Amino acid sequence: MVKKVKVVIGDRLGKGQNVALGVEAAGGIAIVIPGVGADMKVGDVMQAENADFGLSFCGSGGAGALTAKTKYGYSIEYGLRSVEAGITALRKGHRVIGFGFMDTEELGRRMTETYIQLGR
Amino acid sequence: MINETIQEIAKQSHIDISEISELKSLLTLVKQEASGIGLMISSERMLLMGVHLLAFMRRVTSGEKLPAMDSSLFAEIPPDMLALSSRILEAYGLSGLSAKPDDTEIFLMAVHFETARKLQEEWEQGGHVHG
Repeated sequence: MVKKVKVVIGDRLGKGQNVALGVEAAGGIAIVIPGVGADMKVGDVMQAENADFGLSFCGSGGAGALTAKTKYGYSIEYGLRSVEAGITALRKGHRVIGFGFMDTEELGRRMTETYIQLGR
Repeated sequence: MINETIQEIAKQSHIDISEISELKSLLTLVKQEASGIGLMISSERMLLMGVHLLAFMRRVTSGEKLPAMDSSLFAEIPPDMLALSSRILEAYGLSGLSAKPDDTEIFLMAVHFETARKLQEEWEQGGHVHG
């Protein structure tokens, strides 16, 4: 059985459910961290779940990404505002990617599809 | 610590000289205000706040507004942390660049203070003593 791509989603306001729907639509497993300040726990949950990549959302997505880098050494990019920028970051090898608030199905779906393509 | 924070931010993204000056003022105020209520701000937390405040400053300058948020979430952050956040963000407004910060901005920054407060509380309950 092929291992499914596992994606952790953390949003400062506890959102991310639409991103999760997109991840699942692309065949991945989405883990949405509940509650306010969830973005800052993305690195912790990625470690605990052995996730493939993480998505952090706040004003810039910086807090979640930087915390993941500081604590676990993940390669990061943040301050992104578009799906295309996120895809480019994944292709560059970054594994925790921070965005402004963008709770869209398209983002989760296309990021997961890209990650799957990269692994082929 | 503040100069190191700004240097670290500058390593990761371009930052203008005018932004450095404004950010330094805001981070100095963060340190003063936090210290006034006995809240320790680690260098890692200061970096997160610096990145956040730089993004905030840029939103103010560009006129970008964050989406309105569910007001029920405000109950999850103590009023003193919201007030602290508001004082920091309004200080940027006092430099003549901004209108009063909106509720979403105040909330997002307040989460940083509340996270710092919770971590400090956990640390202290764990029997540690600050150096």
